[in-house]
Amino acid sequence: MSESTSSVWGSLFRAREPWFEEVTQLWAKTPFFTDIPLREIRKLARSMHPRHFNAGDYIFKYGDQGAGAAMIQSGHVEIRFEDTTLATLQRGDFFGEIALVLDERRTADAIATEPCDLIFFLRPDLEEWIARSPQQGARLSNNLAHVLAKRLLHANHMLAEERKRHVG
Amino acid sequence: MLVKLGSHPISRAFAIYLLVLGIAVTAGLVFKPVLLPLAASFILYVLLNPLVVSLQSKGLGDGLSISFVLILLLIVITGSVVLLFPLLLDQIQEFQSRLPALWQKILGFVEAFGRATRETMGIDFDAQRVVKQAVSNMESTGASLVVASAGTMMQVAMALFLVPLITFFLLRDYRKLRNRIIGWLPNNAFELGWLIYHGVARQLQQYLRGVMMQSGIIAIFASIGFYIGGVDMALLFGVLTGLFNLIPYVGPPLAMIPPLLVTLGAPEVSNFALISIPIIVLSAQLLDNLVIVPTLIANTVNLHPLVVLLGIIIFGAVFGFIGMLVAIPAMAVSKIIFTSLVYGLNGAQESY
Repeated sequence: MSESTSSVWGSLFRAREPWFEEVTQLWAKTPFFTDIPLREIRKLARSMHPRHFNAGDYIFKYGDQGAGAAMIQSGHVEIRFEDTTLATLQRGDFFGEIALVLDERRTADAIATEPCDLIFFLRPDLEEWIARSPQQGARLSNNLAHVLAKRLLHANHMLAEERKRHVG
Repeated sequence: MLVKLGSHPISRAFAIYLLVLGIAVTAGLVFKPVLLPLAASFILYVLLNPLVVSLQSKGLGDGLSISFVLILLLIVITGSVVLLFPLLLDQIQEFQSRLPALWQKILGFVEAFGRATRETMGIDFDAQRVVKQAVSNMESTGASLVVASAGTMMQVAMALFLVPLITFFLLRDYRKLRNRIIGWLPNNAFELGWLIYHGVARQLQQYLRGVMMQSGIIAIFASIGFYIGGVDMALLFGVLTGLFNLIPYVGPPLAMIPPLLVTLGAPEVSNFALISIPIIVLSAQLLDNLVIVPTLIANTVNLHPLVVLLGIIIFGAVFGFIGMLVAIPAMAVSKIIFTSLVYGLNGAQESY
């Protein structure tokens, strides 16, 4: 089989090994996968979606329908709301996790500030995984609830600080 | 790219829908020789995948789950081939062998009717010529049906070999293949593409599972009913009733015709069987409308009755009986794809 033919079939049917092994290790370090065995994360990582973005590309815009979360494999990403930069994220960080739970619009812009490789973990992947591994799926849902609750607490603290500043 | 297709979500959804339709028609033409096994394998995939997922959720490995389900499928196929197919073929042959006697009987009825109209009302009606013409038409149709069914048997034999093989690969590799194909979308359409695909796939799977189970339940119910009612070839007519049930409004009356004809054409006409046929078909309709549709199909596809009727007439006129059978599933699939596209693109439109 010629190399070009082989690459077509390879592109269709074969998983490219290197990225998902690295991605498994990166996801394992996030609070999403606390107490979840590595082999389960590896299984899930195989169904995730690697995407490449150039510097200045919008990963998503405020108001877009969100399908899931993304983790940075390489490069830097800025989360912006209007002209304010809310966060600068790097390798191993993740964002957009609200879309793993809710069929809602994005609440900020995400922009690649340099060439980026991202791994998307989508709501359909999560739903399929929960159906196939309900026990691990329950753990992940619990971890996800922890992450979102912490974000809510943080937002509440920020609101309270802002209010104090205005009153003061 | 999606944004450039047009300004309004409906026009963009329509453009993408036409593109999908074009791809589907081209694929249908390219894969025409293996369309039957491909369609059967896909339907089996949709039906069997929940079983594979359920086994995986019990802790069974991917390979073992697929193998177990596939062995089950092979047992069912082998069982059907060994037990049901010969029975069905016998019944089809018996039906064909009874046709000449049936036409003679109908001819007798019509001649008597013609005589009665001539004697009582003075209307001259050449019943014999009309019926002979109809019979010769029917016989030529019957002959072409026999030839067609011989060709169909070859296709069925090929399908029996190919279907388990394709189903195995779908169960094993479909998700990988799907991920790669959706991965070809550009970055700005990737998430939206996934959401639209997910919406379409979920509704389609629900609909296909619902329709298959609906047909199967009606076929079993009608077969048992016909058997109890003393109707000859109960299994054949039960399966036909299940198939005809896919055609709304027109299907149930059509389902009554073959068993009624055979019962009328029998050497001894059974009144009990004659009465039981409409009762069984109507009971199957009640079961379908009151129990099966609300529980299995629910609101997956809600087509307007006028659209349904027009669709059956147009599909029937263009593609014949097979067209009538696939009219509703084809329109349902189109509606699901189009509404999912409009829903998905509406969200995208509002965000720009």
